[in-house]
Amino acid sequence: MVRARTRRSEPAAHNELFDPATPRTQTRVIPVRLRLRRALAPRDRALQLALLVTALAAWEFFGRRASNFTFAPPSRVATAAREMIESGELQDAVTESLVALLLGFTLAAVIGISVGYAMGWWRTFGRTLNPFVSALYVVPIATLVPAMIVWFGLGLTPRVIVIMLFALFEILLNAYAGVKNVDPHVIDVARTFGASRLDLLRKAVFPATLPFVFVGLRIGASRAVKGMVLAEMLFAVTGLGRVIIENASTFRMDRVFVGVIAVSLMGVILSAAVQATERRVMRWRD
Amino acid sequence: MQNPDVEVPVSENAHAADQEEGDELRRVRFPTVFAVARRANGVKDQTVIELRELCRTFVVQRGREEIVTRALGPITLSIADLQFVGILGRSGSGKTTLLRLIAGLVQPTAGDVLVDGQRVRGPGPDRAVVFQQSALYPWRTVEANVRLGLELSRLAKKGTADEIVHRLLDLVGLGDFGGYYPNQLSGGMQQRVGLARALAVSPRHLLMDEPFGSVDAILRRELGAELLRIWELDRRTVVFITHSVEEALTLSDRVIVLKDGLVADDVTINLPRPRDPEAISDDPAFLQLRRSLLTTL
Ligand SMILES: Nc1ncnc2c1ncn2[C@@H]1O[C@H](COP(=O)(O)OP(=O)(O)O)[C@@H](O)[C@H]1O
Ligand SMILES: [Mg+2]
Repeated sequence: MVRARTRRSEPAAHNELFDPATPRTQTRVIPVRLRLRRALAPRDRALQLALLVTALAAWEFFGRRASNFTFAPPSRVATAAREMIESGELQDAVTESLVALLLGFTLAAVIGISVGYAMGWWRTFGRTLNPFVSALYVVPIATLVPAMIVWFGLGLTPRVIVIMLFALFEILLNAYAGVKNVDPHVIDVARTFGASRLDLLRKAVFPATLPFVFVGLRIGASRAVKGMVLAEMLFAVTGLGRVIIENASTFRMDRVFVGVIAVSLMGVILSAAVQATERRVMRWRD
Repeated sequence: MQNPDVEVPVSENAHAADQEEGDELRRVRFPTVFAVARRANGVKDQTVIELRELCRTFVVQRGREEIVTRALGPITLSIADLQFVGILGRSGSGKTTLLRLIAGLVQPTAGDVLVDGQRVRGPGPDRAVVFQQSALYPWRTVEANVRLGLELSRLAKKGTADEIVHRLLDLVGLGDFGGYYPNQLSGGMQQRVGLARALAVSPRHLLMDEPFGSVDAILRRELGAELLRIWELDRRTVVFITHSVEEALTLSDRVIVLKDGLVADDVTINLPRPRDPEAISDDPAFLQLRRSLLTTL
């Protein structure tokens, strides 16, 4: 039965695994070549690459036929990117945006997780606050921007606050849901050992809620990037938002696309960083 | 709240008498001052867990009405020191409620639970619980799970803790699995870890809620035999909940039958120890007890 399922290409030596005299569970080293192949060569990677190349080719094709004022092919976008890097313009814009993004996201994470935990930990506090948080959650944050400008002007502060508000509620509500959903057995076990309140929080509730917290952080990360661009384009014209807006007004579409791609990359990298942390922290999952 | 006596490192006590046959016995014993005194004085049949007119109700709201269930009681009974007591009952008969009351995880609606002469006000490491679904922490390795009780109850220092953890993993036959995560273990192995975790704090009393309820019949019998072996090495009071008549009879000194929250029967099991789960099931006395328990159940 089992033999029939082995692939023909497998060397015969593998069949010693089927020898009932050997231990049922064995550890073996994966050869480096095999490991590399597994990492690089899954079929979907090849398909993804093909899709990307096709899309770029189509873009290039139509981009060259369209007017320079309305569209730009990847080749011109690449050239524009090189120019903007050489002049230092792109780096400055990215730095400007990144500072606000990281500040806003970190603030959202700290406030969101603490308030979310507090709401889950002190039931009355949570139940009291919940309707208000839910109401704030549905307020479109863009509508708050004029008020932000009145209160904080056009500097870094209002941008950070907008980014923070964009990411905050997802993080907060997920942390809150996490604490409310901790398996009661997890709590019971800790209590039977006479755990202190602090230990209950540190050693039972906190690790049990991590999956929820990371869902919140992941969604929060992508929303923070959206908040960042909104702030940079809507009022404090600066950073990558400024790159996009100013170049669009002079019909430099190649440079506009550089801005768009840079913003997207920042989003991707921030999410990837959150996911990498998640994998590190929750090793038991794989 | 804590048990200062448990900090006595086992091996130090064991050194003097650490010879041949008594060896394994002492190694798992972690003797508490109390236990030693009790054994030395030969005190027997001393009540350690006492339930007085114990009653627990649950109220569930359904729209304009509320449903009140008397989950347990009123119940009055005493459990003697170092006894293995089986609590037998069908689903919904109040077994889990009884165990949680003794553990201090829920409070009585009326009546009292006394453990070692003290009214139970909450949970504590003198009464370790083994839960039905092993309830291991998935983010902790097997080793760290077994260490959990020692950390939370602050019963042992780091070095001592490691020693205790390894000894217990060996005891339940999982010495090689310390580094595994629970989701990498079979159900039976997880239950063994749950048992080791409970034993790690050397509880005076062990409360087990259908610990082998979710494993197959053969494994269940094996785990029962293993529990007996461990208990013979280091006796303590065990309250063992089960819905299996055979399991209750094989393991227990005394079987209490719960029915609709009340004690329906209370039988002393005088089958000889140590017991062999295989052989005992053919014993005529066993068969007779089994028949009578099945009738009351
Ligand atoms: N937390 C609870 N809320 C409401 N009803 C409960 C609760 N716990 C137990 N009960 C009820 O009490 C009765 C006994 O339950 P339980 O002690 O779990 O029985 P067993 O463990 O013997 O199956 C059942 O009818 C159950 O529905
Ligand atoms: Mg139950």
